[in-house]
Amino acid sequence: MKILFLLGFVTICFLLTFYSSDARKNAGFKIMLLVIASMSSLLIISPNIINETANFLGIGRGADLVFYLFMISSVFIIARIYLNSKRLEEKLSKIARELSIIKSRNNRK
Amino acid sequence: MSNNDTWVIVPVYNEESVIKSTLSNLSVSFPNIVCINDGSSDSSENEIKKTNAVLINHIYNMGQGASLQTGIDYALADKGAKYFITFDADGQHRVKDAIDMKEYLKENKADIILGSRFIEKNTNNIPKKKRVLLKIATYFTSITTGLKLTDTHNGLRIFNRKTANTIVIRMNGMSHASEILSQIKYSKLTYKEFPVKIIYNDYSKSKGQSTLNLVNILFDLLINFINRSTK
Repeated sequence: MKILFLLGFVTICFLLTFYSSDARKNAGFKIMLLVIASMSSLLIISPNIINETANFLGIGRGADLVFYLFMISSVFIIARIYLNSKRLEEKLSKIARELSIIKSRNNRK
Repeated sequence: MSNNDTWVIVPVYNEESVIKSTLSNLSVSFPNIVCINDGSSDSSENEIKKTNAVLINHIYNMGQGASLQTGIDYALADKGAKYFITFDADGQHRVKDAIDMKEYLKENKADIILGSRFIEKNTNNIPKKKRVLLKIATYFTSITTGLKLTDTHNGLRIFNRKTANTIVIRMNGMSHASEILSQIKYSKLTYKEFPVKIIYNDYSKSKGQSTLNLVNILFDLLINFINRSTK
């Protein structure tokens, strides 16, 4: 049960991070943050709910459940941020290159 | 043979000691040369200005891939440009090979000719560590692109206008070499390899890529693959 749950969570994170439209990817990113924040808050406010959920899933303690979800989500969030930065770099480079060509042409006139 | 229909693209990064002689040798056979000064901190710019090459200054150092794309974009604006050669600034390449490759491209009606230092058996001048790294890179690239090549990281290439319009180099750094090959495969461009001689001297050896850069290249290729698959 534990393995299935974690595999399912990894699959959802993977799909939300890589295989969706840009709008869905952004929403997926926010959903993951929300899930982590909600579960972390619940763990503090009402640890019994998280503990019962963890027991049901065969994970053990509630803190372990929150930690696993945090770890998995973090990897995908970092990957998403890195991919976004590469795409931004691509756009920036295109602008810089065109500017360089324009300046060169102006200098030759 | 007139080469007015050909542009030579030379990316430059801190090559003040050799760039003038490289460009002078090129200009004997090729009148159209565009030099992209990629944020050099030495006096490469001044040395380039002493020649007739067109100079484009990048406003910050972006990498060889970005420099090549800038050069291609510039040369494409010349409606008479039919052929485009990428040529290293450090004096590793021979002008004779560029001339022979152009002839070979025209005879074989290929879209792109890639220089290879491994076609002819005499590879003793290649430093051993570099030879091993290149073999690894070649093996990895052949897996990811499906292209059967002997040398996947040679900066000497010649291609036609159709290829110049087709290929878009997005990877700014040294991973661009593998990216070009990927695009050859996916755009179904016809390609061939041609034996070239690389001149290894103390200067050119010192300019070679570090071993760790192979890690960067492989990682960039993975990211590019993910980016391409998920767009």
